[in-house]
Amino acid sequence: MKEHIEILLVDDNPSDVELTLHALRRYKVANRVQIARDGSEALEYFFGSEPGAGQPKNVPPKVILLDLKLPKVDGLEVLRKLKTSELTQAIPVVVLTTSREEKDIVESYHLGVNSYIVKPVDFEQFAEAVRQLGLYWLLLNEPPKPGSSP
Amino acid sequence: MANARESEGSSKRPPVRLWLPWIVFGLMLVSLGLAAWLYFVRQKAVFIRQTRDELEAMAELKADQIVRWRKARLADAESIKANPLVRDWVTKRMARTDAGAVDATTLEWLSSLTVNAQYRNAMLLDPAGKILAVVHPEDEGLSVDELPLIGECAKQGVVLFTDIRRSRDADLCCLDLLIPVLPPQDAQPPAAAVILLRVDPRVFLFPLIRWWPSHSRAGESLLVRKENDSVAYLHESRTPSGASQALNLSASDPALPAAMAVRGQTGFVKGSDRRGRRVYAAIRPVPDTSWHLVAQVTIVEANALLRAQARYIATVLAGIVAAALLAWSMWRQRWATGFYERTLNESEERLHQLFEHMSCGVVVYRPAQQGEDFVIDDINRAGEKFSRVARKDVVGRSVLEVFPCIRSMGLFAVLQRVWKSGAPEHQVLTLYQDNRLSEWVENYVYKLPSGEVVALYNDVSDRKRAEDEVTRLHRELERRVSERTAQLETANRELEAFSYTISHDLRAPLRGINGFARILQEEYETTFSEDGRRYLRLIQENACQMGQLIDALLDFSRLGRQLLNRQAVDFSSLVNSIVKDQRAEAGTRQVEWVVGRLPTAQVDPALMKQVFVNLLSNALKFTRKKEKAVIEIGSYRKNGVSVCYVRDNGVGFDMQYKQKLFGVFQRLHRVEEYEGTGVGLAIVQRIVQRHGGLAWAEGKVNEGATFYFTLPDATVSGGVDEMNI
Repeated sequence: MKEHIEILLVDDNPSDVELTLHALRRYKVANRVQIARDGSEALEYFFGSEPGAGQPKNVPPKVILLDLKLPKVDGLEVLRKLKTSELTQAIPVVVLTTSREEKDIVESYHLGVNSYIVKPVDFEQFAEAVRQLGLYWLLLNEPPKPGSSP
Repeated sequence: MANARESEGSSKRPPVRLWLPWIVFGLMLVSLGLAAWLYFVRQKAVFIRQTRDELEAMAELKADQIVRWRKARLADAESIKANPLVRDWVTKRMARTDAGAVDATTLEWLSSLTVNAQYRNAMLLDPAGKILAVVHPEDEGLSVDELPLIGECAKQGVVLFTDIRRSRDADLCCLDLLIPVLPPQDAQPPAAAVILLRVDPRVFLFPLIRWWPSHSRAGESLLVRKENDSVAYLHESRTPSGASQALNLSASDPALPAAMAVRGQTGFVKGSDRRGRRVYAAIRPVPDTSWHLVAQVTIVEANALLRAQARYIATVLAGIVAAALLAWSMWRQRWATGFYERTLNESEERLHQLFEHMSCGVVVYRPAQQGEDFVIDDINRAGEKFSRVARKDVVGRSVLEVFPCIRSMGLFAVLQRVWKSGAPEHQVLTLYQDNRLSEWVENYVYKLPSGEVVALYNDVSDRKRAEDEVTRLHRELERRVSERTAQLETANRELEAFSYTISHDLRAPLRGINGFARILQEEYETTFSEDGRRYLRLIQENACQMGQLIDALLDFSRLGRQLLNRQAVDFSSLVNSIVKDQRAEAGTRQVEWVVGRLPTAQVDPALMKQVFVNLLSNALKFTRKKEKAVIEIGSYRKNGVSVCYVRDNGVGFDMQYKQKLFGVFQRLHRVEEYEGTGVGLAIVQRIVQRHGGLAWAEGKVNEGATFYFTLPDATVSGGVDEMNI
């Protein structure tokens, strides 16, 4: 799957994934969304099964939407690894989570997260948040990667 | 105790008493000495007077005797002169042609005179001094000085006594009696011849002078005469010293009584005799002569009795002093002995009482076998009690016998060390245990100067038990505290996990319900009937409501864990900014906002904002049905505490439900009437409580409500104090 990926969505909850995709579809940004069902899958997408490999396995996405509560490797751990690796630290990460725990928010920003969005229960609000984020990170905030085009 | 005090008092007096006798004794000694001296002085005066009287009497007596003797001699001479037979007979002899030739009869007559009247020699002389007859021709003749006297005697016809004449070598010493022989008829001068009777003073006169009526050895009478410028002693000295006769002493000698005599002095004098001895003397001139009589006695002799008396007085005085000293020292010794015995007894008694009544046990050990054993010498009552022994059973017994386990307890080694080194030791809390006793003791061991070793100890078993109990309880408490702490930590962790679960997992399905209902509503609208669409909407509303409840609950639970970030917050500006937001919220409603003076306080700004937001939004919400809402925010001070309040004229509440107001999820109104989660006031109360304050409410149905809260740290700048609302 060498096709150009724009969004990597890391979330284990199928309902949330579907709702997120629905919201993204609504705003026409869901064409190239890659889904990782847990933290290890997300790391595998970047670093393969053996950690420390030289080249990224896949084309880096323009933005990563990361849930914090994940099976196997949790979201904060994924975030820490992404932000400490030279290969991935430039990719914007938006934490998109139900957690309103302060320590999660603080920790996320400490690890270098670019944005933190609490998923609201109300779908309208959720859809609006996703839309704003998609617009911002996909269109306005181009990652500093020369030669790549949207 | 009182007795002890008194005896202590008396024990301080002896130093005063000890020197007092010395003073008395000294005074006595001085007065005695003074009396003795006065007596001595008086006695001396008496003695001197006596000596003087005696000497003067002596001088007078001697002078009188000399005068008598002279008178007797002169009377002799006068009788011869007056005898007509003598005149006749001598005239006849003188008229003879062979005048000058002394016949035997004349000589015989003259000789009879010498023998009868004890004259040494007798002569018959003519008026010119020519010897007509002489009884002892070998005797010295006439002196040149005598011739004028002979002439005078003959011419005047009076009896004359010449002065004593002495030859140089003292061979001759005489004085002559010149008797004129007047003519027989008319018996008128001039005389035809002179009879010379020569007296030897050594025969009678000198012995008379020398004779001293008392037994004095140093008393003497002197007959002196001035010869040229020297003093001549006419008589021989009583002391058989031939040389004294030849002594020619100066008449101007100031100290010599004899010199004083020849210088004309009389009376009682003090001086030195020719031998240099100090003497008292009485001087008296002998009438009708050039002689002076000196009666003198050496001071040494005169004062002999005085000295004897003085010696006697001194002896008596010394005896008195010695006796007094002896008596006093004996008394003092007896008294002092008594005093020290008494003091010692008191002291001993005191120490004994102390020893007996000390609250700690005291045992006195006497070392035996060179410190290999210790014998109990004494034990006090506390010791008897602690160790459950009787003094009579243990005194004199070995400590190893009485306390068999003293070695294993370590005290025996302490006793040995203290005995050897002399340095006191403290044995900390130790358990003594044998088949009779089991007690915790604390020992203080020290060595007495007499060599015994003393152990002071306390039975601290009770204390030890109490301490152990305290320690046990303390440990128990600590164990419980740590247990509780662990439980609390677990509970906290569980609570955290729980709230995390709620916030994350509980909301996810809600989001699903809501989201999919929404999708159904939007994308399959035509499929549903009117009712179906309404249900879809209700599903979404309920899900949203539940989301809000969850969020409120999370907010509330987070409050308990959140740290307070206190800083100075000006409530006025805080409230004004909230009022601004609330005005926007109120929209077109007619609301009057009254903001009074508000304090400044050290609070967490975010939490305090939450408090006011909750209270003001509540007020706005419950005044919704009023035509004109009035919301007043203010503060006052009461009992030194700032009270803030928010008052509205809304629906109010029944005071019987006031306890429910601040409960979580407690509502007094239906949701359809007034929306809300029922957590707002609970949050207000929790925040206020976390700041150390109180929150309460007053209200009446349809007449509005007032919510109060206090903040202990608040200070009102220019606020209204003690205002009662």
